[in-house]
Amino acid sequence: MYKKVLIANRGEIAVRIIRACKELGIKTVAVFSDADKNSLHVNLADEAYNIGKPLPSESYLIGDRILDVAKKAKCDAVHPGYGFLSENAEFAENCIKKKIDFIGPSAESIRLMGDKITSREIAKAAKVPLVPGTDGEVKDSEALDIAKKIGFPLMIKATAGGGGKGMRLVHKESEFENSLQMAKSEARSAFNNDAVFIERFVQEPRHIEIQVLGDKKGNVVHLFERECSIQRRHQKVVEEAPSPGVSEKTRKKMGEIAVNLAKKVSYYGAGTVEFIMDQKENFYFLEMNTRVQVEHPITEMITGIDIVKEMIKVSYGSPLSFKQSDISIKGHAIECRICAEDPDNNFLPTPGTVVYVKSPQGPGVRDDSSLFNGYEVTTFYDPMLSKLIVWSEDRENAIRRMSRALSEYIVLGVKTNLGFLVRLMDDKDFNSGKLDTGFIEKHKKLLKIPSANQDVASIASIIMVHAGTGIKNLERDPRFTPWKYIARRASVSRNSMF
Amino acid sequence: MKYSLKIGKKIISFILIEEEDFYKIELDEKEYKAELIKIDSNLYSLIIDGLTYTLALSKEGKKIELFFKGDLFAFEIPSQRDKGALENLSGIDKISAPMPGRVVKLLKKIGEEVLDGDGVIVVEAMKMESELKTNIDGKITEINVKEGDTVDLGAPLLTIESQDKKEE
Repeated sequence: MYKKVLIANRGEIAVRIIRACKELGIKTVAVFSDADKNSLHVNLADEAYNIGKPLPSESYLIGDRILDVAKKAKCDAVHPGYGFLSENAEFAENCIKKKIDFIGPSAESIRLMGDKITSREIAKAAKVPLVPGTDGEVKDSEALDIAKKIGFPLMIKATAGGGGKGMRLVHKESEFENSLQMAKSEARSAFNNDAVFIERFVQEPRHIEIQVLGDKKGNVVHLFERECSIQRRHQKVVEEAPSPGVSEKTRKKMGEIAVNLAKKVSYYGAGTVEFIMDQKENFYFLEMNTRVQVEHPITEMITGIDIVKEMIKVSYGSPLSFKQSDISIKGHAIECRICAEDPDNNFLPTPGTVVYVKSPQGPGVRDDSSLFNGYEVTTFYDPMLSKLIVWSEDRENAIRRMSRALSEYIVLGVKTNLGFLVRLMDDKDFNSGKLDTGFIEKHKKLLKIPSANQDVASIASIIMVHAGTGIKNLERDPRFTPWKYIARRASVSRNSMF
Repeated sequence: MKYSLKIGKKIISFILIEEEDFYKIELDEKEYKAELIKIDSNLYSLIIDGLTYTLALSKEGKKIELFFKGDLFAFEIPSQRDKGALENLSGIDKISAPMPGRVVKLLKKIGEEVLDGDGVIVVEAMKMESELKTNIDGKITEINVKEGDTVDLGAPLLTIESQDKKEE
C-alpha cells in the first residue's frame, strides 16, 4: 500500500480523505493557502505545507507547485478530491511523469469524459440515451437559429462546465440573447473558456446518478443510484439513496448502461454517470464526473462500501474485492449540504466568522464537516461548510432522523441554509417523494422563516438587552442546585457529557 | 420598561416587566411569561409559557445575533436616527453589495426608468454571477460604481427613486 499521500484539496473533502488514509495506515500531507492556515485538514494531516495565496488560481490550482511539495515530502500518490485539479487531465499526466500516482482515473479517461462534447459522442456510441441538443460548441451568430430548432425551454451550458457554473435556463426566445451572454461571461471567468452548447430542457426532471467503481484489471461495478433533485442554482443541496422515483427495473437498466459506458473508456477509480429522468422514468445521459462526488457518503451508507478507501486501493493496483452480485442496497440514506448562504436572499453566500458550532450526534448520524469555532467563511471558496448524512431502515425513518439531527445542529455567526433544511424535512411533498429539480422554485414558502420563530428569537433578544451580563447563568447562580444545572445542561446540549 | 429592536428594516417594540423569577413581555398585544438562562458559552435555554427552546446567541455592543431552529436572526438596538431614517425609506431603493465581489455589468443608465423586479446590476462573487433587482418602480438617480470595480459588503451600488417620491 502507499506510504504517504498528498491531499490536493481543502475543506471537508480533504478531511474525509485524510480519515480514509489514516484508517489504511497511510501518512498524509496537506496543502493549504494563506486563507486556510488554521483549517481542520491542516490540523489533521501528518504534514502540511503552504502553497500560496487564497485565490484558487494562486494556490490549489497550481498543479506544479503541489507536485513539488509531493516530491519533496516523498509522497507516492496525490488524491485530488473534487473540484480544483480533480478533473484536470494535464495534472493527472504530470503526476505520472513525476512518478507519483494520481488517485483517480487515467488522464485519458478524464480527457474523454471531462469534455462534455466528447463524452456525449462516446455515450452516443455506447448507446446511452441522450437529450436532444447541439453536438458541439455553438457560435453566437447561429445560436438563436439552433435554439429555435431545439425549442424552448432550453439550457445553455459551458462545454468546460461543472457545478452549475456557466449554465442558464432559457424559458423563451426573448430571454435568449441575454442569457447566452451571461452564461459565456460566467464560463469565461470560471473556466477561462467561454464555449457553450445548447440542449433541450426536460420538464420536471429528476437528477439521478449512478456511482461506478472500477479497478485497473478492467472490472467495473455500480453502487446503485443517488437522487439529487433538490437543487438551487443548478447545484445540489439534498441527496438521497436510493431514489424514491426509480423502479427496480430502471435501476438495473441505468446501472448496466453506466457500467458499459465506464468500460468503454477503460475506467478505473470512482466515477459518477449523471442522468436526468422525467416523471415516467425516461432517462438521458447528462455527463460523467471522473472524481469522487460530494454526495458519495450516502452510497457508502447504503452499500457499506468505503468509496474513498476503494479509490486509494484500486489506484495502488489492487483489484476490487467484490463483484456486482455481492452488492445490495440496505436501508436509506440522506445527505444535506450545510452551506453559508441565505435561502431567503437567492441563496447568496454569506461570508463571515463562525462564532459557535455544535454538530448533531446519536444513532445513524454522520457529519462530514470542516467546521470549528472561529472558522472563517471566505469568498474565495465554495460556501459549503459541512455535509450532514443520516442512515435509517427506510426513507420515512431516514427523513425523521434527518429532521432530528438538523434540530441539534447549531451554527452561530454566519447565516446558513439549516432553517430551510429543517422545514424541507417536514414538507408534505418532499415526504411524498415526488421530486424534481424545480422543487425549491415551487416551494418558496420553505425559504421564509416562520414568524413564530422570529417571535421566540425576539423575546430572547429583548431579555438579553434588558439583563445584559446579568443574565441568569447556570454556572454561577446560587438559586440553581447542581442537580438542576446538570439536568438543564444535559437536556439542552444532548451531548453525552457523562 | 419599553424596548425596541431592529431586525432588517423592521422595528419591533416590546414592554418588559421584571417579575420575581421570570419576565413578563408584551409583544404585538400578546403577553408572554419568559425566562432565559445561559447554559454554556453561547448556548441558552429559553422558556416561554412553559415551552422550552434551545438557542445560541452572541451579543456585541448594540448587536445581537441569535440562532434558532436553523435560522440566524440579527437584532440591533436602534438609535433615534435609525428610527427616523427607516420611516423615510419608502420610495427609495438603495441597492448595495450583498457580499464582497466584483461589478460585472451595469444594466441601466442614470435616468433610465425601471419597474419593480427589473435587474439593474450584475455582480460576481465566489465565481457566481447574480443579477440584483430593484423592488420599486422608478428612475435610476445615482450610480456609485463602474463595471470591473471591486466592492465590499454593503457598498452602495445604485439608487432608484420612485416618481411619486419626486413629486412630493
